Amino acid sequence: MLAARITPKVVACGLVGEILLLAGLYLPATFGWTSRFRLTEALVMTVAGVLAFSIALLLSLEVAAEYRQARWARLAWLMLAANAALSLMKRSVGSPLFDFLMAGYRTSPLRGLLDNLLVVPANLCLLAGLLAVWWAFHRLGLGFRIERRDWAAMAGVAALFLTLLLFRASLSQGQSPFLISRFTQPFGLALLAPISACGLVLHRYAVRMGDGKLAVVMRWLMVYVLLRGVLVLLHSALSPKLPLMLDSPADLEDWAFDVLWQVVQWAAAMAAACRAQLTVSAAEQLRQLRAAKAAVVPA
Amino acid sequence: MKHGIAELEWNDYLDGRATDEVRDRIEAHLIGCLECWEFYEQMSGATQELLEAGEEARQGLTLEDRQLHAMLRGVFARLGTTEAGAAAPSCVQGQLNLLETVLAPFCGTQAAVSALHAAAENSPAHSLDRVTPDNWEPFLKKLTAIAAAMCGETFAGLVWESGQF
Repeated sequence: MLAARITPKVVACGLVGEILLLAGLYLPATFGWTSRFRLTEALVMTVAGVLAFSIALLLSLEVAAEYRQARWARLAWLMLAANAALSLMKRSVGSPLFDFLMAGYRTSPLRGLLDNLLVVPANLCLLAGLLAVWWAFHRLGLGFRIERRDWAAMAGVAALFLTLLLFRASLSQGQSPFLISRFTQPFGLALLAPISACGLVLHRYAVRMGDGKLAVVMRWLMVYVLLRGVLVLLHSALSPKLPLMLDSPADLEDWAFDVLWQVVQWAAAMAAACRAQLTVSAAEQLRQLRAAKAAVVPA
Repeated sequence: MKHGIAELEWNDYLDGRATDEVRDRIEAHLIGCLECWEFYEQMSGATQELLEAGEEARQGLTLEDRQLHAMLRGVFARLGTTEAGAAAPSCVQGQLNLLETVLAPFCGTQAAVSALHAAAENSPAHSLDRVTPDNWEPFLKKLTAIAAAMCGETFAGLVWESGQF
């Protein structure tokens, strides 16, 4: 069982390790002690991104296999696994490493095309996964209802993204020679509206559950979902002149944004690891219970 | 009482709590009575096995404070019951408390309570107050199904086995 080896602690070490490594590479250059290690930074980001989404993919598949009878929960984790797989591909084709092979690749129309061809299905899978989680809990009848204020917050979040799309002066792929890029980019960004709104549902569920391991999973999923939206909005607000795009700043100078995007991908891995760890804990407790019963009543 | 040794005296002797006078009397008798010697051997073997099994169970089953607290609540609820007819409901209450302590660390405290209520409402008991040993199994099946939908099959297995009387 993979989950027994890839624990949330391992994932947390991956996240912290990557940030420390990036800080260790970036800060000396900022203070003028060394030159910028761009290639090494790009290498670290790419490897870490691939690693994080691979963990999310494998653990999500393992979790989905746990729901043999509960088809909505199974569907939810399969969709989250598909999202991780597509994000993994997107991370690979969007790697800053390609900048060293092809000048200006990161801002080129080709990269925009590849990016958006993967972003749209990835976001659709994520949205489907979140809706399946929502429905899976709703039909259990545990009284987890979405209140009026939640609906209002969801509508507010969705409206914020749609307003941004409608009134924003330009999108990075607005002038792309690839027609499909011009259409898929606004669609991919628009999907952030319902996805972020669903993130609020996860928050409500986590609050309703109180404590517990499942609530932790909900919270990490919420971080994964909402941090993406927050970063797009922040980037848009802080750099209104720059063309809007889903995840990547215009160049490597936007170091802080790069690091925060790394947190996003580790959040996906952390949600899957926490959920998989829940099964490991349950299996361990079951083993202890059986051992205790066998000890009291010898077979 | 058999051969002048009361059951309570045997128990104390086997547990190592007998007074010097009782111990000397039993040991003097054991030297000459084969029947009591065999009885002593059987009982002391069983006592030893029970002690070892108890120790093993204590080491194998780690309990969190919250679980211990809920179990103690169940024990005290049973101790507080004076009427003979109330023994079954208190036993059910103890099991419900135990299930809550199994569910809560995984699903959260509030979700655990909601799951117990939902399982009862959708079982022949119709409410948590009316769950009895007679309708326990359909209630437990429903709860296991809810646990499976929330946290998967392994966790559902834990709930099912914890809920067995």
